[in-house]
Amino acid sequence: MSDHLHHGGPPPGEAPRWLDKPDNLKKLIRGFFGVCAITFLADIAFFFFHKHSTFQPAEWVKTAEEEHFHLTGLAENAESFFGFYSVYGLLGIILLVVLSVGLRKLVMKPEDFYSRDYNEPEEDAKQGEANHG
Amino acid sequence: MDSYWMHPALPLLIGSLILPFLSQRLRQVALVVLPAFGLLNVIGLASTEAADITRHMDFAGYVLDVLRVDKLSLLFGYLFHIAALIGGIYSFHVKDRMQHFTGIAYAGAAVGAIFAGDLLTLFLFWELLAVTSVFLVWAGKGVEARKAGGRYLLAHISSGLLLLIGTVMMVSDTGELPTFGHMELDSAASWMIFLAFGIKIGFPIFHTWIVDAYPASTASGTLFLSAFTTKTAVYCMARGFAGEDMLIYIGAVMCLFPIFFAVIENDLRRVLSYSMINQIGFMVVGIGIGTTLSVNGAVAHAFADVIFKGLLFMSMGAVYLRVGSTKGTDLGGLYKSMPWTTGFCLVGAASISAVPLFSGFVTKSMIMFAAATYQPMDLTWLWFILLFASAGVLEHAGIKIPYFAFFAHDSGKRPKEAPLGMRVAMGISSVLCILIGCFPQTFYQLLPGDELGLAGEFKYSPYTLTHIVTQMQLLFFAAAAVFGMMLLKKYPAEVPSVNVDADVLWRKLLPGIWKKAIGPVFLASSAVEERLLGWVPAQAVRTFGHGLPRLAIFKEWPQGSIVVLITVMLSAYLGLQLFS
Repeated sequence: MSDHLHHGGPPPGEAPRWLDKPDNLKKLIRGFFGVCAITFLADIAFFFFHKHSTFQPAEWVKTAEEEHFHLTGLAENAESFFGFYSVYGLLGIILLVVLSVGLRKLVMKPEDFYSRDYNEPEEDAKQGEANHG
Repeated sequence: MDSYWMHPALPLLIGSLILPFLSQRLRQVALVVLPAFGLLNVIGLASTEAADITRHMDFAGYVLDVLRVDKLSLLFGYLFHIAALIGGIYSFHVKDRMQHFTGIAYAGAAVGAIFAGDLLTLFLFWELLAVTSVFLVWAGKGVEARKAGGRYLLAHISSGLLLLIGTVMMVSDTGELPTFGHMELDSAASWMIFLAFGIKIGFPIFHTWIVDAYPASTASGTLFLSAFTTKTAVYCMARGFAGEDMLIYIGAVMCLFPIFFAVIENDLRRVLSYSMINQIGFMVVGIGIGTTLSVNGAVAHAFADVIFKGLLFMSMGAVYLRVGSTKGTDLGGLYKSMPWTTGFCLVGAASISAVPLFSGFVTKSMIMFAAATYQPMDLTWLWFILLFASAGVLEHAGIKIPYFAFFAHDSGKRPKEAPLGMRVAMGISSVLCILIGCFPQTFYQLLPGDELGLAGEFKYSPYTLTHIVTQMQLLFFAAAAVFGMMLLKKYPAEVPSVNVDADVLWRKLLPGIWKKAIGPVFLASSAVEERLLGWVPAQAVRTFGHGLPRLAIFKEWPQGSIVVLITVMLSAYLGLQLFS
């Protein structure tokens, strides 16, 4: 398994690319997090311009139905909260990755988990080659 | 006037029959000419004066409505021809005649299915879809592809069987052939049809054929597979069950569970297959909400998805062709020798992640907006799930796919750039992704929502300041979370492995029961069995798998024999219906 993870590296004699230099990579990472900060602060714009809430009754809904409209207070407030989308995206992905790592403990099996059941390996391999060729 | 145009499935279906007899060069010409001619034919049908063109055909005493032209069928008609054209160009390098033949015939079957006006016609093309496409799975490498193809066929034959039974039940109820229109889930028959569509669309638990078969096929085979089958099912669901509340819940599950599997999956083509279920989840939700806006969003997203998911599958296909693997552990640093493929992959990644100016931004948002503004039911919870799933899409399709294949740890591999045909096909798809993203209002004019008699009207503009800013915030911070975790070494590394999904039901549990409980009964009665099964022609056995003649029925999960069994039952049922 370990030679899967530690093989590779550029072939000897190949000139390093722009991305290969640690300094450039650092610049790129800094630039990226800088842009993140700018998008976060973009919410300031909504102090001056109206931020359209996604949660608005559509125009086509008749007034009678509108009375039954359950006011989605929580969502509406959360959504217009400063930096909501940024925080939701960040925490959402962290949660996703943490849960997925947990899922891995549950479902991860060796690569031959299914294929070791095939009881006629020789004939299968032959036929497979024939199909492919 | 309409007599100048032919049935839209014919150019592809008839054309596919001559493909095997052409030389490689002539096949390449035909792979462009056939879909292009078909596309012109559909455009011609659309511009024909008669609002509703229908063609009838007599079949076994019933009148089949083989051609229904309206905005919904036309939209998918355009889409499938564009997909066939891109797929044809992408497979220029392929020498295997069988793949060209079955690929184009498969596209023709899909076109036939979406223009079908009644359920029996739909069923005929439904089966044709299954039997043409399975050869694309079998074209893949080795025993894995052969076994996956068998399972694929089993899923689709079952789906077809359900559709047929549902249809026949409707015929016996009413005495006439049911037209394919909106249905309510109020009878056993409509449930059968709902399930038939559900298997093909990838309902949870039945979804396993997608992640099983797609990564097993060849580079171009996967592209064809990804374009037609599930999208035909999306079309059928939109036509038949728009506004069915249950679809909202099913769609939400489909949006959610694949994104977890996608994080930990090593095979990048399988990551894309999970991603496909997630995207179809959005469409199923849109269909379930059932307003003009949401169904428009669903079919628009289906259109965009065929292009951008196809683009991602194409880039991974190019990697597969050149490296021989799409496992994350085998790849990395390929941008150095495959810059074009890398660039196209990034366009696909941006589109599926719904970055402004790319196609996903103008299609997926319709479904989310429809969920947030839906009045009859409070769907706030759904909106939060969809937003979470959107961030998840960025993680696996927007970052993981391009990052692990083309950047990340340098594998030292320097494969050749993709062949010219592949690059042209990826280029066309990239341009389409950007065109749809930049000119949504032109694209929206093709959407059929207004014709479907649903609640609400279609008024939507994706490019508002709020939408652009909030979407960029979501995406940048989701990306920041991924890169941050990578820098802190908290992101799960790629590991050579298989992740057990619901397929463990079909591949371990049921075979286990068979082996332990049912098999021994057959073993005990093997003398009887020998006589019973001895007549099955050896040729059929070779086609559908072994198991029967060697009397190994109790030794392994006899999926080949089950296909035979179902086919026999199917024929018997049809025969009874015809002669009763």
